[in-house]
Amino acid sequence: MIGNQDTESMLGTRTIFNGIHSSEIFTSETVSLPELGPGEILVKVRLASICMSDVHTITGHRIEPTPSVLGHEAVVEVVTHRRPESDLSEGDRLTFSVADCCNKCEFCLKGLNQKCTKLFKYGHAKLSDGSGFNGCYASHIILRRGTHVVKIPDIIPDRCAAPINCSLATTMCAMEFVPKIKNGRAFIQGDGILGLYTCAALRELGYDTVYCSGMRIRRSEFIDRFGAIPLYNDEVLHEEINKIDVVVEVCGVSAVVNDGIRLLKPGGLYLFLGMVHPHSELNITGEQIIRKCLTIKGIHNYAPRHLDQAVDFLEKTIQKYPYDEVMGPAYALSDLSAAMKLSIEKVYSRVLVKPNMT
Amino acid sequence: MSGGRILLRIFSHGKSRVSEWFHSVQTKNKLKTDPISGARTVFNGVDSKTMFAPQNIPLPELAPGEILAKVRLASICMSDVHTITGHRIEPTPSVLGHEAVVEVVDHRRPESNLAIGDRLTFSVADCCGNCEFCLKGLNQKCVKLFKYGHAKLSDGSGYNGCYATHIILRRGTHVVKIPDVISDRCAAPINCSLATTMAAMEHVPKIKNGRAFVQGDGILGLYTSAALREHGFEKVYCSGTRLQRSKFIDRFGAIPLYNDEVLHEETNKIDIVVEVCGVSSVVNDGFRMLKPGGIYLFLGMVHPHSQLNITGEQIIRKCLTIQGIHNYAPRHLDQAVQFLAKTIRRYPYEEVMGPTYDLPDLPAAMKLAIGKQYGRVLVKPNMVN
Repeated sequence: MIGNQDTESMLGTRTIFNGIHSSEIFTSETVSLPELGPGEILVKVRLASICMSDVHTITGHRIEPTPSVLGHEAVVEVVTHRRPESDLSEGDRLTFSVADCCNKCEFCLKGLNQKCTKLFKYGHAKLSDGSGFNGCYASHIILRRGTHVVKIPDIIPDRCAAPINCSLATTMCAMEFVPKIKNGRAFIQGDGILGLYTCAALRELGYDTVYCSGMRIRRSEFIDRFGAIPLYNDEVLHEEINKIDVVVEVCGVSAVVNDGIRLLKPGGLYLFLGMVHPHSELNITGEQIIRKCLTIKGIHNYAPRHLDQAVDFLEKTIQKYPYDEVMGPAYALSDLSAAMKLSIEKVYSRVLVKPNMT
Repeated sequence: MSGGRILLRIFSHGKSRVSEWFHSVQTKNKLKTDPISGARTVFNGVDSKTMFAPQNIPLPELAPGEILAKVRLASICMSDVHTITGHRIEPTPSVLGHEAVVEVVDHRRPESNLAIGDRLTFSVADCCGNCEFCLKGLNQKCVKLFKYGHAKLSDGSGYNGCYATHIILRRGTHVVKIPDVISDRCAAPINCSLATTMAAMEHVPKIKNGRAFVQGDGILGLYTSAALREHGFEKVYCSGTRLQRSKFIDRFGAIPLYNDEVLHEETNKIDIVVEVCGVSSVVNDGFRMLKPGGIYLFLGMVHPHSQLNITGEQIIRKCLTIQGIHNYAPRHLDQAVQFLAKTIRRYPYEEVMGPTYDLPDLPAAMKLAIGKQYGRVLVKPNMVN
């Protein structure tokens, strides 16, 4: 039977995050990989990408349980598994759901798996939770039985595959709420990887005009190649007031919301994705929302179906958009600190970490 | 200017003269069988010397598509109260009043099945039917929107509001016949309160063992409670102020609460929260109660002092939906009539309504409406049977 490999003899390396006040923020250890439980998959991390939420964790803007292995975006490769009913093979490249869920609570059953009552999130879990090989800044990760996985088609290289299971899947989740609108007009507030992916997704959905704004100090040079009209975040688009069908907040800054509301046409939709932190006070009135019959939708993480949609979307559009070019350099696991430092600067959409020689 | 001081001015301006005049108009109408003239009460603005001025003006000829209707019974919507107390600005001079059950006197809609004497409700929003918003079913935001009770006298016929003996319904106005089982008192608020409730309900999914919290116990809150119960929601809470809470909440299917009660046991457990009280400070409590994936409907806070004290994080982390509901589309008027016909005996629709005033007593009616003792205060401009 495939996957009957004895894992106990194998070693894995992981970089542990001890918290920002620790004398050693990151420590590296090499330990034996535990035996797999039923339904689990042992994978090696081919390429991980540093999500901005990890940057917020290591800069102290976000609190996560410690000690832990961070990192939740990665393309991985099957080493061995205990899912006999699946069609998984050793060597398969996979993406996997950041949220491990139970599939039978009220939230899983209504398709909001990311809010599962027994939620476990890779890269956000204490070392003592489960196997301890819970994050992507490691040579291996053990995927739990409730974790949805999707095979990566050959046409998608590792560099493009790494951000699928956070950025791109979250984008797909957001898109689930976007109606197909004839001559649709959208405004993306933010030009990080979420912003760029969202631009492409809206264009693929048939939106005619997509604006994407970034900061004057540093705006992505790829906005137009992701199908959008580049703007600066201090530009007031007077001609589009009351004319935008969908506004998407993907910059994490609450001050943009007033502009977004102003741009939206009656009946328009505002998606909030980025402001997942406490300093996101909104300076808006109920009247603004009511008079324009607006819909505001909060998007946090995604459900298993969005991972499938993300892979399909990427496969279909891999040649159309510069997915590879927006990615930054790849660092060895031992250079995680340097990689993090580069991420903070936001020069690249993603900085990569390659824990294994593959 | 405070509501009280305004009303002092209304009362001091020749009420007895107004009564005389109206009495003579009514007498004239009893003697003549064809209503050439109508009476209307014109609102001149809160700062005007004569805030309400009655007029007796010939009714214009009907244009194609129009309906001449006599107002059987009008109800005073809180938005009119806000207008006459200065919290809301509407174009003046105008005839206020937009909630009413009316009766066909004459019409120019040959393709319809309207007959003289038909009791109707009508869409507050007169719309074009072919702009982008009408075409996507958001008629209340029509680019050529005209709203009865919110339009200047000089706009169209001038018989544009319900505080009048007659109203001329324009060609773009959707109308629905009122079934006999629905009395005038129950029918009057259909075309604002109940239709708006139907518009809100369009965003409410059918949820097994659904739990809802309705923040506000005015007529919108009571109707929403009933609508949620009819939709299958198991548990509906409805909160009112300690100072004056409706005694009908439980009879509209909801569990009565006070607005300062914190329902700890329902934290993260409510599927739908509906704001129908106009107070923005309730929103934080609403967010607390909503479960992940929950929906918040905003209906009441249609005024500038509705500052929200919330974070984007709260909305994102719980994957919440906030939906603003303003007015409604033609289909919601049909749904409202059907809903009311179906449930007319189940809920005390009649009992929540207040007393009826004659048109000359509009100021007194408004004063009572400000007090919020009743679901609605009524105005009856005509002698009707």
